[in-house]
This record gives sequence, structure tokens and C-alpha cells, in this order.
Amino acid sequence: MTGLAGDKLLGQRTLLEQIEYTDELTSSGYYYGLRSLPRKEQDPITYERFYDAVHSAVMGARETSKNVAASPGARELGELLFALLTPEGHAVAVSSGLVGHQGAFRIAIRYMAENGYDRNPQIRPGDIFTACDPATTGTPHPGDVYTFVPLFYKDEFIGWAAGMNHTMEAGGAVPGAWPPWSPNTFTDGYLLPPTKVGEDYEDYTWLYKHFERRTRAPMFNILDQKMRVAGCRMVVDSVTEAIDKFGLDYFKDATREIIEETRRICSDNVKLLTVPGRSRFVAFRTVPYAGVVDGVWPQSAKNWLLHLHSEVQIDTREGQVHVNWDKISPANWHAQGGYKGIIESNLWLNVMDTIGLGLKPNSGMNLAVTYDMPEGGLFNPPNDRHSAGNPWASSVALFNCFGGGLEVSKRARGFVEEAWNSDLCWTGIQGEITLKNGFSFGFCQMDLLGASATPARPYMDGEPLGTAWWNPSSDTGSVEEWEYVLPGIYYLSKNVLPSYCGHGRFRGGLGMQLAFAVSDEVQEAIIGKIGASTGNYFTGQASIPGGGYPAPTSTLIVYRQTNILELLRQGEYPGGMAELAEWIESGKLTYTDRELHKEEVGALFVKPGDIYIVAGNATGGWGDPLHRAVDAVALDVKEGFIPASVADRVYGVPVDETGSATESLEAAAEARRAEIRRDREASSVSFEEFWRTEREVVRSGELPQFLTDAYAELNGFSPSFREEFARFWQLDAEEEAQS
Amino acid sequence: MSERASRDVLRDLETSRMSWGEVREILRQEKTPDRFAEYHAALAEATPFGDDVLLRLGEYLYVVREADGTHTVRCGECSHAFGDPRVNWKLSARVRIRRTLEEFMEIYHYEEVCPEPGIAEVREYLCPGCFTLLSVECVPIGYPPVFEFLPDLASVYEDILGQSAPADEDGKWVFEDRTLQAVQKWGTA
Repeated sequence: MTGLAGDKLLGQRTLLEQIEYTDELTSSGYYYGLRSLPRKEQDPITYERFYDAVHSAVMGARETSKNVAASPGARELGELLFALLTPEGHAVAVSSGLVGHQGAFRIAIRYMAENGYDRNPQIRPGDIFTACDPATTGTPHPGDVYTFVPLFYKDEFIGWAAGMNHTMEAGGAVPGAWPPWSPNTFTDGYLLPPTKVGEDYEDYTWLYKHFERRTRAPMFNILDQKMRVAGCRMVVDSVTEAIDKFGLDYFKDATREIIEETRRICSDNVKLLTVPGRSRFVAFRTVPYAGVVDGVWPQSAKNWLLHLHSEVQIDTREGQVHVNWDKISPANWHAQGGYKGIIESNLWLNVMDTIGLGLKPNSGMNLAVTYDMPEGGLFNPPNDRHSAGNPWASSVALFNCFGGGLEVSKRARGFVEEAWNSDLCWTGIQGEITLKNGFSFGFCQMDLLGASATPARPYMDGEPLGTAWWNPSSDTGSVEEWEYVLPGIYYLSKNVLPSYCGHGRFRGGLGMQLAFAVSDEVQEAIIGKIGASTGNYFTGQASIPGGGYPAPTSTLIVYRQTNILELLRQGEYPGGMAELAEWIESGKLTYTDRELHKEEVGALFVKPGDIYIVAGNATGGWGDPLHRAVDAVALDVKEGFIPASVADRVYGVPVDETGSATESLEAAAEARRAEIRRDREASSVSFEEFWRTEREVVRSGELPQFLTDAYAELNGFSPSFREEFARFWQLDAEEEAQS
Repeated sequence: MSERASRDVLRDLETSRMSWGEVREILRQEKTPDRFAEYHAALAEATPFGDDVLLRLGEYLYVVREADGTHTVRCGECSHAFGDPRVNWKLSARVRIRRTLEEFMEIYHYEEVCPEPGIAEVREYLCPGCFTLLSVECVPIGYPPVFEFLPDLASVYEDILGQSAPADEDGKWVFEDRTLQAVQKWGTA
């Protein structure tokens, strides 16, 4: 049997030698050096039947094994994935679910290869390897846990079954799966580098004891591990059956061809769907740490501005997309940076949404795009001590900018139906609850992770709860399910929030608002709020394709020591946020203090009687609101999606709260819109005039210290940003040195 | 509806005269190389530029072929000219700046989700001819304007249209960002 100590795992080669061999072949520009696809060309029907067999293997594993899990993240929202990998970790076939992660699997396999795992601890049939350490594994953050089981056929090592899911709690310094307050890797949580955690398809006992001691949701995490192992076992069995049918040689050839076929289709799609050129989009996020961790981690005692700038270069002659991140912020001592896995996962998702049409989703998609992430940049830190607690928040904003570039290009080529403004978002709630009976547990609450609003398109509005861009099989989950697994917290409301969107000719999808009350069963609770929707000081994206207003930020509002529990006992239950607001205004709902948090929050203590409200997941609009169809605005008002004041002020449609006008609606709107255009003329200046004024602000040192520091950091890290910034504002050498 | 995405279909799509069922059918159709020509035909009818329209830059802006062979960014609503596509068109726009909470709330309605006054500014880029809103930026004060899309016109002609690249003042059209040169002309007086 291969795989024993001293043997070559792959017959002639060790695992590392095999990876290097494949990399060398792929450096030709063709995956595995395949300049033709003989299996496909000779018999396309058999080729497709083979793909169906291995694809069914991973789909079947997902749909069956998720019933092993107890965590609603996997079972209810479908935040899991199974895949068939080559020996090097390249995905051949992936299930639905958290599809982007297949782009990162190969990082863990490479780590095991580079560290000689095939000799020690050995890689043998039935072995289980689990990992969740971003620096070594590719998992974007410690809440994403990967499991690998080697695939042998008659004693020959031929690949891997891989499973992953987003777990409920990662055991970081602050509770939840995405710790936003984490100065370095040592506060990120229970980080497991690729580790053999079982054999003969049975986990070692110590792994469960680790979950029990080092995470706040051990029951869920243990059952998630069992789910991943069960799914991987199913993949191994089903693929083995497929090899029995098609033959081992066919398996070896076809798995390589399937990946190369996908790479070619992506490249052809670049040639077909896009316009050559360069696009740039940018997002900003603030990371306020000053006053949070100062005493222990003085290097983190500051507030950062993240510059998430993507430049996309499209070459339709070669069918190549290149992403240049040379203006990105540097890595620093906060949780919104990350490692290579977050790039590869996001990259795959963006390729799927833009040029990934008509193909078999697999690792070939990662080969279709090249990129430069500078050394020391936000997602390429100078050492492995940096936190990767919450990179999904910042990276989704960064990759929205990448997607935006391709959306503009596809629209220009005429593929109107495929374009949207790429203003995607998510919001997470997480924390830890200790009940009065002493039971304590950590959690993620994924209502706003499983379903976000869709961005506006050139022909239609965005839809509330319409997508989870990273998970094509997702769902918001049921309130009853969440209350069941989060005892002590009551849902007060879950609704769309009127007018909570970016406006435009087509408006963005409305964001959601969730309100909760902390019950008497709770001794103490900690809550946090994170996500890509949290621009904090800014909108989700700085600007978006289509030119509409970008989405507003997410927010967390806490009302302290309210009388809500007494009102509930009296049978009074607010029908939604609007009624809650009426109760506050009338004095029916009393409270001692109100707190507002637009920023990400790692740990906010709440007590029985406190109410907390989270709003998030709004998306941006498309086009000028004054170009929106008048009857569409009236209908929005009638249905409660926007108030009459917004219809008048933003859309130039003067209607009452029923959506009716006192005179002809079209005539009233025409007059009001003409008035707004006159106001636009009166309140605007030429760009040159604005440039002269703004330049003086930049030169005179009148910028707030936060921005002065932010520009200094960017200018110090990115030579290309420094050059463009100085030349645009025509700063002299002294001013440039100060900025 | 089973009609392929012809110029009429594309026009109906962009003017929202389609049901979701019809849109979904277009989404599912095979994407074909003739789309650029069909879209060009639709734009030639829908814009004031006729066959001279080359490319759609954004919701309201187009790259248009001029009589002298040069290319200009123009507003599709009023034909206002913004200049060379290699210079960020925003430099030729009117701009309205929102900086206060009251100004932010006119758009974002709720104080709790507005950008931060004193740090962020919202720039509304307007056409100087018709005051159509062309783009919005929410950026830190002092941040240079974002140049969202710089098409490589030489490659558009050669790779998509199968024609020779347009001439430039110095000969072959050069694909480069000329925004900083344009700003330089404003001087610092």
C-alpha cells in the first residue's frame, strides 16, 4: 500500500513533488498542460456522464450529511460545501452551498505536502484531516472549518474528498465566528492547522474535547465535524463506484480535463462578454480600535481607514482578466485583514457571477484571473501573526469593486441582462448568552447572512432578501429555528425597513431590520454586529456601476433597561419597528439610555429588558432617481417601501401617504422634477471649482486627524497611490511629504 | 417569448417593458458574439448619436465618434460633450457636495445609517447640460475622483469590430489614462 512511511504517496512522487509537477505543467497556461481535451472530444456523452457521476457524489453528500448537523448554519441556511479534489487539492466538482471555498482547499493540501504529512502523520485510507487556521489552511476565518479525507482506489492515492461549513462559534477573544475585535492571530480563536484528527472514518476523542474546551458552541461544532466526515465518506464511496464504472485511467484523465475545460470557457467568456479596458472601483471601511484594546495591545490602539481599491484590467484578445490591488491598505493589527484563502474564495465567487457562465464550476475558474496583492497588503500580511478574524467583511467590499469593473464592461458589450451594480452585502449578529441556570453558549445568528438584498440592475429594482451571493442555496432561516437555538432572546420584529436602500431609477433592495429583547432567563449576554454592510463612516461602496446612490451602512441600536418585558407580560407585542418607534414616542416604551453603533462591534454587554435592533443588507440603486417611472414611485409609497417625503424629495413625485396626488401625477412630477433640476444647478459647481476648494483643504492641513493619518498610511505604503494623490492635488514636495 | 436578444428585445429590456419571465428567458439564452452589434443598433435608435455611438460608458454617458475621427464622451440625454474618454469625465461635470448630516439625511433618510459628517462627503456628479445625475461618490474628504471605466478603444475596434484602430493626433490611438495631464492644465494659481 502506498502512503506508508518512507513510500512515495503517488507512486513515483511525494505529494509535494506531485504539486510541483502539476504547477510546472500548468505554467504553460493550460491546466495540467492540456492543450486538447481528448476524452471530451472523443466521446462527449461519456465525458458528461462521468461529470454527472462525480457531481452527483458531492451534491448527494451535501444534501444528506447536513441532516447530521445540529447547527442551523448548516442545516437551515445550507452554509456547507462538499467537493472532489485532485491530489493537489484542485476542485473537480463542487456541491452547491458555500461554493467559493473550493478555491482555497488547495492551500491546506499544499501545507500538508510542504510539511511532509505523507510521511508523518501519514495519509492513509479513512484518515480525517481537519483545519481552520487561516494562515496555513486557506480557511478565510476560523469560523470556516475544512475537513479532508484522502481518496484511494485499490490502494492508490488519487485525490481528496473535502467538506466545509461555517460553524457557529470559533472560540476567539470575543464570541462568535467572525471576531471583529482581534489584534492578532492569538485572539482569533481555536485555530487548527491541517491536523489528522481521526482514522478509519472516526474522529479521535481529543478533537471533541478541544471543541468542548476551546469553543463556546461545542455541541454544534462536534456535530458539524461529524457532518463533514459523513459527507466526505459519502463522496469517497460514490466516487469509488464511479471509478468502478468508468475505470481508473478515465478518472485520472477526465478529472484534469474537466478543470481545463472550465478554464477555457472562462477565458472564452472574457472574449465574448466584456469590453477591453480598465475599470476602478473603491470602498472604504473604518476599523475603530482606539479605546477597545489599548491597555494590552498598544499597537492596535488606533482607528484605521481601509482603502479597498480594485483595478480590473480586461484583455479580450487573450481572454484574460487581471486584478491590480496595488493601492490597497497595508495589513495591520486588526481583524479585517487575511491570507491567501480569502482572496481565492472571493475570486471564485466573482468569476462565477461575471464570466462563469455555461461551465462546470471548479478550480479552472481560479486560473482564469491573475492578480497582484502587494506584499504587506491587507490580504498578504508580512508574517503569520496577523489576525484573520473577520476578513469576509472587508474582502466582500473589495471584491464588489472587482465585480463592479466586470459589470460595467459586460453592460458596455451589450449584455444588459447580466449586469447589476455589484453592491453586495451581509450582516452578522453573534455573541454569547449565559442563562440564569448557569448554561452558557456562543452563537452566530445568520438571518442577515443567509439572505441579502440584491443590487439594482439596469432594468429592475433590487429585491429584499433576494440573494446570498456566496451561497446559491441559502435561506434566511426561520425565526422559530433561531429562537429555538438561542434561548433567552426574543424576536420583536423582522421586517424590511422602508427607504433603507440606495435610490435610483431602479432602487436598491431594501435592507432588513431585526429587533430583539433580552429575556428574564438571561443572566448576562454579549452581542456583536459585523459584516460587509458596515461601511461605518461611509456607504457600502464609494461608487457603483449605473451611477445610483450606493447603499447606506448597517447599524446597531441598543435601548437600555426598557419596560418591554412588562409590556410583553401584559400581552402587548410590537408589530414591527414602526410600532416600536410609536411606543417610544408616546412614552409607552421607556428606557434609560440609547446607544448607536454604525461600526463593527465585538462585544456589547446586554441585560434582561434591553432591546437591540440591527439594520443591514441594503443595496445600491441604478441611475438617476428623477428618471424613475412616476407610477413606480407612487406604488412604492402605497406599499410602504418609501415614505411620501422621500418620493417628493428624492424622486420628485409629490404624493400623499396613499401614493395619490391631488392633481395629475405625471404633471405634478414633471413640475417637481424641473424644480429639483434647478436646485441641482444652483447647488452645484464646476469640478474645477470644487478641485480648487478641496485642494486647499488637502494642502492646508484642515483635514481631520483621522483622514490625515489615513492618507499618510496609504501614501507610505502604496507608491502608485502616493504618486496619483500628489499629482492630482498638485502638491509640492513638502506638502507631499506631509500627506 | 423565445426571440433572441435582438435590438428590439434589448430596447424593451432597458425600458422595463418586459415581465420577469421574459427577462429570465433572456438570462438563460446562449450568449452570442453578435450581441455587440445588436446593442449598438439599439443604442443608435435610442440615443441622439445614431450610428456614431460606439460604446456605452454608463447609464447616461456614451463614447461617440466625432466627424473628425476623434472620440468624445457625451451625455445621451442632452448630447453635452465631456471630452476625451481617456480623461475621467468627472473633471468636466458639475458636482454637488453633501457634507452635513441634514444633507445626508435628504438621501439616506435615517440618521443612524448616514455617512459620517466631517469625514465623508457625498459627491453628486451632474451633467452640465441637463443636470441628470451621472454618478455618486461617498468618499473621504480629499479623495481624488474615481475613474470608473477607461475603455481601450483601439482593442474595441480591432478585437470586437474587426476594424483598424482609430487614429490619434500622434498616429495610433494610445490606451492611457490622461486625467492627471488634464488636471495639470488647471495650474495652481
